[in-house]
Amino acid sequence: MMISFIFAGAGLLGLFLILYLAKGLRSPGGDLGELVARLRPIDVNAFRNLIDQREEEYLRAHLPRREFRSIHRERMLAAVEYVWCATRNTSILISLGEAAKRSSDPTVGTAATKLIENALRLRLYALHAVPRMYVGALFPSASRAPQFIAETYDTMVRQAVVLGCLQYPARGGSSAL
Amino acid sequence: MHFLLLYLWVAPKALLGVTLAVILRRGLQKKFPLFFTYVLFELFHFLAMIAAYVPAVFDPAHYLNVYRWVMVWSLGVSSLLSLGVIYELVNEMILSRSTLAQTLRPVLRWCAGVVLLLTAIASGRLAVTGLEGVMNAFQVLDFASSVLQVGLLAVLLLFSRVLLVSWRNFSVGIAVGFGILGCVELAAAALLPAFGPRGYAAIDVARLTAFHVCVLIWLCYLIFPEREPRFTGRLLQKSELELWDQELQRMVQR
Repeated sequence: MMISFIFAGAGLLGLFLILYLAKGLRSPGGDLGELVARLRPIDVNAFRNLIDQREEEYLRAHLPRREFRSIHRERMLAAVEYVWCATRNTSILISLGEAAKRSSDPTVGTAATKLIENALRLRLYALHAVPRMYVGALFPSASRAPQFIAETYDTMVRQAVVLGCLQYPARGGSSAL
Repeated sequence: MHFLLLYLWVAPKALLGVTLAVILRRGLQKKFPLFFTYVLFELFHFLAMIAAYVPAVFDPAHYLNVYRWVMVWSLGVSSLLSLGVIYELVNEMILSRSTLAQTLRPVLRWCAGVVLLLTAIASGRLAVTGLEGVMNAFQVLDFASSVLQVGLLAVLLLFSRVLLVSWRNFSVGIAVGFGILGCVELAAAALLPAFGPRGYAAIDVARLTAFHVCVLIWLCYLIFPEREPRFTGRLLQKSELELWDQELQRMVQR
């Protein structure tokens, strides 16, 4: 009897999940200027510090175990925030690319298509990275999360750098880099 | 209650007939052959149920079981077709849209495998006792197919969100409709053994209402099709696009 109600509750939760996921789907189009204005700044150096393995090892060596766990969790959660911010920026980049795809110049269209593909790749990457970072936040002593973070360190930093540069469209990406 | 049940039994099927007509008119049967087959089968299923129901009313001793077996077999075919539709949606919404298909295919396979495993565990946990054999088969099949459907649709919508699929896309409408139906079916299938035959009518109302909502969603998506997105403001220059693309490429290379 109890299990029936648990599954019925799961069905109801599933309904909310489906509606939540559907609600989050994108409305295409919009004002390009407004889209650019919605890009959020990313402090690359701070992010770099948060996921730096040497920094983590230093903290592990110099802090009491309990304090380290607490600080590590906060650091990981902050890093996750950075990744979410970068992901939000990517969605704007895709919209900008989609708009550019309509250009009469075929080379612009090709460049926009490539840009969209790579931005989508990044979003998939974030989907993969965030749960692992949460695991790292929950279990700092588990080897899996830190190894993963170390392995993907370069990728994450580059992601933050590029998406951070988007906040300076007037200056151009290269100057922000 | 009888009027409500009658309405919920007939109205969604009538709307499904309209849906079928719109699909044919817009030539969508080529793009969504499995969904088209599903809609066609649901209409056939409705007629078959009427054909089995009428003799069961007059001679329940002989025909009630026939009616129930028609119900079980129809559910089996309908479940298979709905899974086929989900496969079609995965292709349409995710794999065909992106050159990332090669990367995504194994991820989606793994997700489907996990959902299948969870379905098997959940179905095993749902003890169906006290019902007749044919209804027992119906319960287990209904529950398992609902869990599988909801799990796969949640994965599909999650990836659609990540890949920024537009909510106005007809594929999204199909997925949301199936999702709502699947969730209500899941809850109903789980509650039926708890309530037993006295709960059939109320649970039927919930199921039929969900199907009604599902068909309405499909119809709305068909009547108000997706438009080309409109952008205003300055377009990006080629140099800007190339710069960002180079950086993105660097980011995704390990």
